[in-house]
Amino acid sequence: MKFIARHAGEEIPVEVERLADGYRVRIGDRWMHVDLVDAGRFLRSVRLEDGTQLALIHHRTGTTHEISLGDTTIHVDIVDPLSIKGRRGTEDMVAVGTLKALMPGRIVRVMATKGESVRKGAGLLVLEAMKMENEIQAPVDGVVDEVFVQAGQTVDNGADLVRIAPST
Amino acid sequence: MKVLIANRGEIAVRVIRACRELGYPTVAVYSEADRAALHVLYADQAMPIGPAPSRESYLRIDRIVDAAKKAGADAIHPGYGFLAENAAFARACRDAGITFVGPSPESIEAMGSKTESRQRMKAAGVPVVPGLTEPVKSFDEIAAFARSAGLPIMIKASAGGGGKGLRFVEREQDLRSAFERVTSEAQSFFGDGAVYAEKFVPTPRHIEVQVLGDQHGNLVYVGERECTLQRRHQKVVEECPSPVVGAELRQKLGAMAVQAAKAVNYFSTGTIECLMGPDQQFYFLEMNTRLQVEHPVTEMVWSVDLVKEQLRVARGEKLTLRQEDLEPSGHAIECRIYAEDPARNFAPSPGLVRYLNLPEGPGVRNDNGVYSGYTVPVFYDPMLSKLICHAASRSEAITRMRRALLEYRVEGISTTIPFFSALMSHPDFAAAKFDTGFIDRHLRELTQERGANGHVDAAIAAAAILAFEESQQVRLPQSSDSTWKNAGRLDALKDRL
Repeated sequence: MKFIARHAGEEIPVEVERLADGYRVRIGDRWMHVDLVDAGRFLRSVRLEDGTQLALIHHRTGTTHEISLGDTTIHVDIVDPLSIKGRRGTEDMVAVGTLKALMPGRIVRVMATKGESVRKGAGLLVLEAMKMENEIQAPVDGVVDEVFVQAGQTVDNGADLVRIAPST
Repeated sequence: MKVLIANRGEIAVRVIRACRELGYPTVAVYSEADRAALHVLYADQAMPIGPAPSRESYLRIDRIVDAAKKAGADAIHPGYGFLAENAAFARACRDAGITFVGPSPESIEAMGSKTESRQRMKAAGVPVVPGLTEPVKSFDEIAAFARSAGLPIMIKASAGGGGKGLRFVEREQDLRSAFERVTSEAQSFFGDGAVYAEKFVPTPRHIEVQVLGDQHGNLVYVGERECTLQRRHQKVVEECPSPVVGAELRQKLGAMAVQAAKAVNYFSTGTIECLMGPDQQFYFLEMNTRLQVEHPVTEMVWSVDLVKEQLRVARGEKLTLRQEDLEPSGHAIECRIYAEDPARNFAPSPGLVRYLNLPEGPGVRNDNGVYSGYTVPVFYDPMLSKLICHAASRSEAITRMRRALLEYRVEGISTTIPFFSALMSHPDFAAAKFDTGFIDRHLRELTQERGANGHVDAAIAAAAILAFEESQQVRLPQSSDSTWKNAGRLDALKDRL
């Protein structure tokens, strides 16, 4: 079966055939013999032609496969070429200047007020997460367009905090 | 003796283990977020103490004492963090007729305030870092100290400890915001907004001495620990012994530590933290009147179970350890494994632990608080475990740690494991050439993501094989699925047959 693999900005044609003792895999124009077995729910043992064995942890989200080799993690998109219909570019576009919570936490204090002009580096609010208070600062000079949170509120990872309209 | 552990996570598990070895039944406490936490699963009994935020559960003295009474516990071990250095808690235990596994409330009080302890140590002839000995009444006093002593300074919470509630200030314009942050953190974490300032001692090493005493006036020191490697004033790696402390200096440090502990009639385990300059001149920094996170490195090298000693001392037993019998053996290193993403400036990474493989084998100890399938909550300190490796020499301990870190695999959340792998391979770490600023200076090389060196093809092949296998599977209908879905699947099946 043929696929397209996307890794590090490259598209690579791949092909997989099942054999009695593993798989024949083509990556680009190179064929290799690979043996892969499950070792529990997430762990996979991969054995290459020369006997090299890699214990990797596999997790798939949609077409994205996250392959962890212990000290490094590789992300590969594997797509069926027949089902590619302009899928790319559909990721949510982040509104320009919207600061999001990079971790779940609690809003300790909100300094920013709507309509206020701020300089780059100005403190907008204080987010407490895991016993540390973190001051969220304006990334650019601009005007506070919207404040989405209030003091005391808990926020999830990725929650909108403040929108800044950059001054031109 | 039935022991309630007023803590959570890996340290609660550690204490439960010591109790179990001594034959004491254990009682865990848990917040609403921790019903399925590992410490609860390990305990004989478990008592709920309130909602997820610590302030409403693990910091609630009334609820914890109440839980101990209900469970019939006669002793409470506080672990570290939370109420471990809270004199009011130790006193509430005493008033309720429950043994507090730790020092007396009077000792905690004397050492708990950084400003008071500085005064007491000065009086006892123990050298202290130059700075204020009284909490400030306003920001102006901080500004005045900064002017007279010169920047940089450290602003610290009087009631602080454990690396929380302090800021390093280099620029005058940052003074006020640092003062406000520390005051606010001091209030919320320690319930006391008092702060003071100290002169910053440049390129110091952070050395601490373990002391252990009984209620009969006997005190010993159990060597020192090297805790110089820090980030955001939090220790990240600890070692025993310190690579820069020889037998003679160890004796001097030990004598100073025993003197400091004696000055506050100390018993149980305690730690005297010191700053030491390149000239080996040392200053008393603070005393931690509790067990330390890094206690296992001492335990491995000195063959002492500090938690069991705490429990024996709490029962009023005399120390059986004598100073002359205590001998170090080999070298131990501890890495604090946190649910943090080193590639994103160590942002907390709570969430589901999908897969966990713990390191094992000779000389490896992992004081762990999580399991596969556990969700690391957002409410608490994100430490997953402490990985300790012990070997005959420092260099062997380092290679053993590198080996153990390779075995240690956590999926689902980011951890500091790759950071420690990089640190353990750093030539300056191997040469023990570092000071408290080392990690900040080398942060980029220690946190850059490693190349996949030749394994990319294997990963692509694996992903393709797994995608292929999945495409070959036909999902059987489940009774909960709608009939429309099932009809659609049957249709799809027809094409394949």
